[in-house]
Amino acid sequence: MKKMFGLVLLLVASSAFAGPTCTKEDKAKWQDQKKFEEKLVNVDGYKIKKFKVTDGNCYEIYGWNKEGKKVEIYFNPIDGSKVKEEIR
Amino acid sequence: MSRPDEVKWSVCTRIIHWVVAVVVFLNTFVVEEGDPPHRYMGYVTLAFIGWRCFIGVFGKEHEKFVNFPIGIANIKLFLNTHFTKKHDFQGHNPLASLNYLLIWLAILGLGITGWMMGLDRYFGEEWLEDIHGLISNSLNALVAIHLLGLAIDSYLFKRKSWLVMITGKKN
Repeated sequence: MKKMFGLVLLLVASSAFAGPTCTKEDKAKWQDQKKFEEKLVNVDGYKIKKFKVTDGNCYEIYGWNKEGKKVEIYFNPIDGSKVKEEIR
Repeated sequence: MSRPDEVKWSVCTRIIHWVVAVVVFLNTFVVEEGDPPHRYMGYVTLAFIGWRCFIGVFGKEHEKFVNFPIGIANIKLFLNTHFTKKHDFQGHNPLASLNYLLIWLAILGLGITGWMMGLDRYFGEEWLEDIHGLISNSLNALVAIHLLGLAIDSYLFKRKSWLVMITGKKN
């Protein structure tokens, strides 16, 4: 019974934290958020609906890529690489 | 009194129960939130809710929504008689009926808000994600009540109440 309770707690706790972890580096070392966002729009051709900083230390965008496909992408805020990308 | 071997819940309702239960469990605790498997399983659940609604209108006696014994009078009768075992409701009892209706509403709400999250208009909107999460937490609580009710019923009446969704019989 105690074990089951523990398992349930573990599951509940784990479900509260969604999405990938992108870096463990200090926020001071991250790329500037504004500049990164501008680069995604002006250089890479994304249309950004929402820009977020996630609990997993990612820059995350909801928007459309230059082909007009709906995308959700997690970026590493240090080197700007894609950690997770979903194209719908 | 009804015969103990009477099948109260058709195979369809039992299949619906277990598929939805498994999907809700997987979507809450196992698969990554918002990923394609989460979304597709959510849509499957919506289809099953539709199926249950069909049965809820055209099905057998206890399966029909109109025969769910909700309402103050039934709840009073239940509270006054159930724990002294004077009266046993066939099908869902009044409090269970309320619990299950709320569970179905919560799952329906998850399906609808989940679908909305993928629309251009609401894509990435945090308030919608928060509502989806809030409904999910409420559903967890409702399911906990559901399981607790089963445990109490099993203990009180010395019967295996959970078997009803396997065999279809409430013995």
